[in-house]
Amino acid sequence: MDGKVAVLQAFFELAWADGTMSAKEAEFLSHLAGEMDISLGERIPLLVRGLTAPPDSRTTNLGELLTDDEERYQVAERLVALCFLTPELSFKQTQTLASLALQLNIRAEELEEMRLRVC
Amino acid sequence: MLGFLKPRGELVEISGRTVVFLSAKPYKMDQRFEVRLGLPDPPGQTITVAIRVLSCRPGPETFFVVVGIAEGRREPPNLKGYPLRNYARSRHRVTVKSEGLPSYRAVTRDLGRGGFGAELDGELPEGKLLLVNLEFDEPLGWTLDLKARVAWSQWKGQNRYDTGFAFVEEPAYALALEQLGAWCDHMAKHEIVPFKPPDRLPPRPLKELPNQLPQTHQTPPAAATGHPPFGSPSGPNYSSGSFPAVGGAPPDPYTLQEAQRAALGFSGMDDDPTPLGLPTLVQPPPRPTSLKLPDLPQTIALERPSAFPIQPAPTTPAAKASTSAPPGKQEAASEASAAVASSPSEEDVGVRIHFEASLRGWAWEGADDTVSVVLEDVHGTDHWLEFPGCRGLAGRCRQREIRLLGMAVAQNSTMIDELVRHEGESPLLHFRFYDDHQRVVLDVVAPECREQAR
Repeated sequence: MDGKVAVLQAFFELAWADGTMSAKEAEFLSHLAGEMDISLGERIPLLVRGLTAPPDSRTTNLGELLTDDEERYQVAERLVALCFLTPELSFKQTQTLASLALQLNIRAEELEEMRLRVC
Repeated sequence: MLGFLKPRGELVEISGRTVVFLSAKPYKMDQRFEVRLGLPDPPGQTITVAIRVLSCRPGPETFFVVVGIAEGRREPPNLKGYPLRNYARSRHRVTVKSEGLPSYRAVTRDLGRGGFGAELDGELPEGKLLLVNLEFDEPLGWTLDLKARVAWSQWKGQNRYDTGFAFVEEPAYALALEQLGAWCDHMAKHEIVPFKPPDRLPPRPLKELPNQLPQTHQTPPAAATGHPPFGSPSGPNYSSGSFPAVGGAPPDPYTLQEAQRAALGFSGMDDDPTPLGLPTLVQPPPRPTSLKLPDLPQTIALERPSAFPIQPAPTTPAAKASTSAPPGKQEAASEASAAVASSPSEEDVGVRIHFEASLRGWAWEGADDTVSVVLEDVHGTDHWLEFPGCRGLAGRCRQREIRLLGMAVAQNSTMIDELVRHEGESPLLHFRFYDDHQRVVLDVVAPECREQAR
């Protein structure tokens, strides 16, 4: 479960990269945590912390947590989807997405392909 | 593998349109989703099957046995994967008597060498061991005494429980199991030819009947032996009915050699009966047939409306905290409340967290200013949340067991304003729990929320 929590932290980091947590982003993350099968008792405090304040630390080991190719693509697609929930993509959010995609070993053209698919 | 969104399952079998698989996650009846099956041949090829769940029940270890029906236009190929059952199960109606059964007797729904399934009047705990007496109609009066373990129990409705039993493999029951196996084989092959009861009758288990007299002369009294009150008119004894006479003392069941046991196929208990009508699963090593339950369509989160259709309820200060609030603060808060009452949409409802649960209850805990809230998730599991340093609590419903659709967390609200005692205090959060009519049923103001270790 710690792995899933760490993956969710990466999403929080990306959502907070522009300094705010929008209602759409909060809703997206709330649904995502539900889909990730994190138990309700763990999920609610996790979301409360993640949605009300930016994470203290940055995610650096996403690639180690996700060794399965399909999972890496699933995570990357959702990271891209999260970025484009808000009308404008901030530079910091782009940087964070690039950093996380790099950890996941996702190339730029694959990110673009995902963007076209999810947007 | 992390299992980020993709719960993995283990295929048990596809037979016609019936798909049986093991899953770490339970599914609701009639739930629809697609599963991706990795085919053993050619390796690497996968097919996707749309499934509607017919039943889901606890299975081996922590897994659930999910039975679904393939709904696509094309029928999926027949496949066998992880074997759940060691012996075939067929639809046989045999009377089972046992003092451990809720109404002391039941009729099997299916029966095999490994176990049986029956619908009971009550729930039995998994793992419970029962001494059971099987009373056959064919041949009339033939009975077998066996020990069975409750493998699973599933509520069927109106106090009825579908229950699966696995026969326990012990030397004392070896012969009885062998004879049951022979009976099952015979019934599978012959429809008209009557089953001839074996000449050698199964011995009574010594542990259960320590004071047993020679069987051809006397039947042990049930009360003295502690054996279930097997209720056939003539008793479940070996000398009754149309049985041939016992030819001498029963063999010591403990002298059965390993080779004999192996020959009888005692490879373990029949752990988890699959639904009726499925063919026998032989015991090859589990094939590497993997099954992936793919995630939801990726656009689903994007298509949802961004606005949470919840209007904040007018807040009232909690009695506990408001009594200690400074007078000046209370006045300011009253003004703020009035402003909110006139224009409720201005109240910051904060970020929304969606979940489905039942609100089981809430309470202050001791003198720690901690509020505990108990939620029951859709699977019936209770989760305890605690709000340490709680400054305000307002329950807005009389009933408990309220269906919740989520909560909102705000960092600014009139309730927070009313409860702040002094400047510089650690920031408070306003938690609002919403019911399925989008009404606020519970307000909690506290600095944090965490899962309570229990």
